[in-house]
Amino acid sequence: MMRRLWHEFTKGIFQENPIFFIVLGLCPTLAVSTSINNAVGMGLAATFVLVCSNVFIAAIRHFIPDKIRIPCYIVVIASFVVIVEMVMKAYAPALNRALGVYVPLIVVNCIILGRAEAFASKNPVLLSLADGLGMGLGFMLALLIISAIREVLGSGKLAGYSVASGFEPALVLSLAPGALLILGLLMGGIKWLKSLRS
Amino acid sequence: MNNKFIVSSSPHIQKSESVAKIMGTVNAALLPAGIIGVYIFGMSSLWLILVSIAVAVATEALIQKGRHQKITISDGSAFMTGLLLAYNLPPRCPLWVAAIGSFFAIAIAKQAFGGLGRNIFNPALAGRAFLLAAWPQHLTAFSRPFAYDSVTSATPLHLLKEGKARDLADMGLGYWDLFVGNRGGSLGEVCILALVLGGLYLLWRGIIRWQIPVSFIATVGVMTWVFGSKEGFFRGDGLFHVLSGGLVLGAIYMATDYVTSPITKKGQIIFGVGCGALTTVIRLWGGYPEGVCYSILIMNSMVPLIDRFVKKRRYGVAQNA
Amino acid sequence: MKNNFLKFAATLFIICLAASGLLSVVHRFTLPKIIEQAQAEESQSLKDVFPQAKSFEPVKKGDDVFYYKALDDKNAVLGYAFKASRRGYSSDIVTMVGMGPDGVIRKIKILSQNETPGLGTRVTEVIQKETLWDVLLKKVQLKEKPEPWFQAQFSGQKVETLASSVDAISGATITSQAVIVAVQGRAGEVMEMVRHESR
Repeated sequence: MMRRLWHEFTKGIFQENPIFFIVLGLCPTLAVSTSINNAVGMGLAATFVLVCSNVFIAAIRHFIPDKIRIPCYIVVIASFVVIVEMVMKAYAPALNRALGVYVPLIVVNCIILGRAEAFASKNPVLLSLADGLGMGLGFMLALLIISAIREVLGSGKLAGYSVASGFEPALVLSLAPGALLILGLLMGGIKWLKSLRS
Repeated sequence: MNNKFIVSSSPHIQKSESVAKIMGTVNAALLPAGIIGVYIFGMSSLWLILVSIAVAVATEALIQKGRHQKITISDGSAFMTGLLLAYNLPPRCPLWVAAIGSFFAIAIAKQAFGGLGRNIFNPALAGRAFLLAAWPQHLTAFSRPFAYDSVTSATPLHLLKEGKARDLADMGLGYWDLFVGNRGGSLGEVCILALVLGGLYLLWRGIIRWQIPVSFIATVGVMTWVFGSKEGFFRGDGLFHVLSGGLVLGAIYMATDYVTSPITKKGQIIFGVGCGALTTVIRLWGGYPEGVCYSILIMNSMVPLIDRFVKKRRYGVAQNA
Repeated sequence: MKNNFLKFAATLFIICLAASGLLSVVHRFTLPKIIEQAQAEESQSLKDVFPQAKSFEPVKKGDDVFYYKALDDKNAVLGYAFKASRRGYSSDIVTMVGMGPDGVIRKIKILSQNETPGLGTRVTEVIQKETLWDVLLKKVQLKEKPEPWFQAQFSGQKVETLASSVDAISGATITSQAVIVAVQGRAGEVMEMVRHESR
C-alpha cells in the first residue's frame, strides 16, 4: 500500500507531469509563469484545489450518478476555488492582484477536472490524495522551472531582484509567446534526455 | 483504384537547377542593395551583415553536426537567411542582437522544424519578429542616411504612424529619395532601385515568378490609395506606401521563398493579395508602423490551406468520391 | 426514468447545498478581513501620496468618495488626494494622486494595473542597482524600494503641463498616456468641485 501511495504521488511530479507530459493546464502556465512569486502562488492555489477536490470527489464517488458527474465535479471544484480566492483576498491581497483573473480561472484548469475524471472518480480517498498532491506539486514544479527561466531572461530578475547589471532582457520571454517557446524547448529537452537514457 | 501510382511530392519536372545554384543567384541579386545600404549607412552595417551571415552559417553547421546529418551549409540557404535578416535590421542595431536573431532564425525557425524545405515560416522573418518582440528598443532605433553617427531618426512610416508628419512634403522628402534610398530605414530595404533591378534579374533567370511580388505590391498600393487618407476614400498616397518600409524587399525576396509560399500560380496570387491586405491593415490601423514582416509570416502559416484550396481537380474522378 | 431524473436533481441539489454552506462559512470568516485589507490599503495609499498629512477627510459626491481633503494637525487643508482611473492598453489603470491646492502634483501611486508584462507594467518598474547576488551575499542591506521612476516624474509637476513634462515609456505609449490623461482629467474635475464648494 505504501508503495502504491508513493507511486501515485511521484508519478505526477515526474513520469506523468501534467505540464511536460500530459500537456494540460497551459492557460495558467502561459499566463502566470512570468515570475517565481506568481508561480509559487498559483502552484499552491492549484495544489490546494486539486487535493481538496480529489479527496472530496473520491469520497462521494459512489454517490454521484454517472450521467451528471461533470456538473457535480465542477460544483465541487468551483467551491474550493472560491474558498482559495476569498482566503487569498483576505490574507495575501498583493498575490491575488498579481494573479488576477487566473485565480477564478483555476475552475476551468484541465488538470483538476482531468484528475477528478481520470483518477478520483475511480480510486479510494487516500490514493486520490496522493495523486492530487503529486499532480499539484508537478504543476508547481513545471511552473517554477518555466518562470525561473522567463524571469531571468525576460525581465532580468529572479524573485523580484535584478540578476545582473547591464543585462538587456529579451522582452518576448515575459510575454505569452515566450512562455510557449520556453515550454516547447523544455519539452524537447526532456524528450532528448529520456532518449539518451534508453 | 487497385492500380496504385507512386506519387512523390513536388517538384516532378527535373531541371539542371540545384538548391546551391538557385540560392547563389538570389544572393547575387540581393548584393547590390546591401552594397548601397553600406554606402548609405556606413561601415557598421557591413559588420552587421557579416556577423549575421557568420552566425547563421555556423549555427546550421553545428546543429547538423550535432544531429549527425549531412552538413549543407554550402548550398547557400543559411547564408541567405543571415543576409536577409541583416537587411531587415536597423543599420545601427547592436551586433549581439543580430547574432541572437540569426541563431533563432536557423535553430528555432528552420532546424527545429526539420531543416531546409520543412520550415513553415521564413527563417529570416521569424528571426526578425523574435528580435522585434524581444528588444523593441534596438529594432526601432533607425539612423539617418549619410550621417555616420549615432543620431537616430524615425522612418517615414514611423513619422506617419505617430502623426508627426502627414505626407512626404512634411518629412522633407520626395518620391525619388524613397526610390534611391535616401531615408531612414532597415539596412537593405531602403534602395528600391537596387532591389527592383535584382528582382528583374531573378525574373529573367526564371528563379521567381511575377505572381507574388506583383499581387503583393499592387494590393498595398491600391488599398492604401483607397483607405490611406483620413479625408475620405481614394485620396491616400499609394505610391508612398509602396516605396516606404520593407515592402519591396519583402515582396520580391521573402514572400517568394520556395519553401514557404504556395506552389501554383493561382495560389501565389492569393498569397500575395493576402500579404498585401494584411500589410495595409497593420500599417493603417494596427499598432505597428510597418507590417510586411508579420503579414508574410501570417500568410506563411496559410500556405498549406491555400495549396489545398487551389489544387487542380483530378480528371476521371467524381468530385465527391 | 422519472426516478432517475429525481435522483439526479436531488444529488446535484445536495452537493450544491453543501458547497454553498461551506462557502458561506468561509465567507463569514474572510469578509471582515477583506474589508479591513481594503481599508488598510486605501489609507496606506493615501499616506503614500501625502506623507505630511495627519488625517484625510472624504468628500462625497452621491454615495461615492470623490476625493479626500488632506489635513494637517490643525485641520488646515494641505491638498487633495483622489483616485484616477482609465483604460490603458489591456486593463484599467487605477492611480492614487496627491495634489496641492495650487494644482501641482505632489505624488502619484499606481494602485492597480494589468498591462502587458515587460512593456506596460513598467509604469510600476523600480530601478534597482543592487542585484540578487549582492542581497544574498549581504553586501547591501535590504531597504525600502525606491519610487518607480515613471511615477516619480509626476512629482512637482503642474497638472496642465503633465503631457510635456512626463516622458512616456518607450514601447508603452498607450499605457503612459492613459496614466497622464487619467490624472489630468480627474484633477480638473476635483479642482472644479473644490472651487464650487469654496464659493
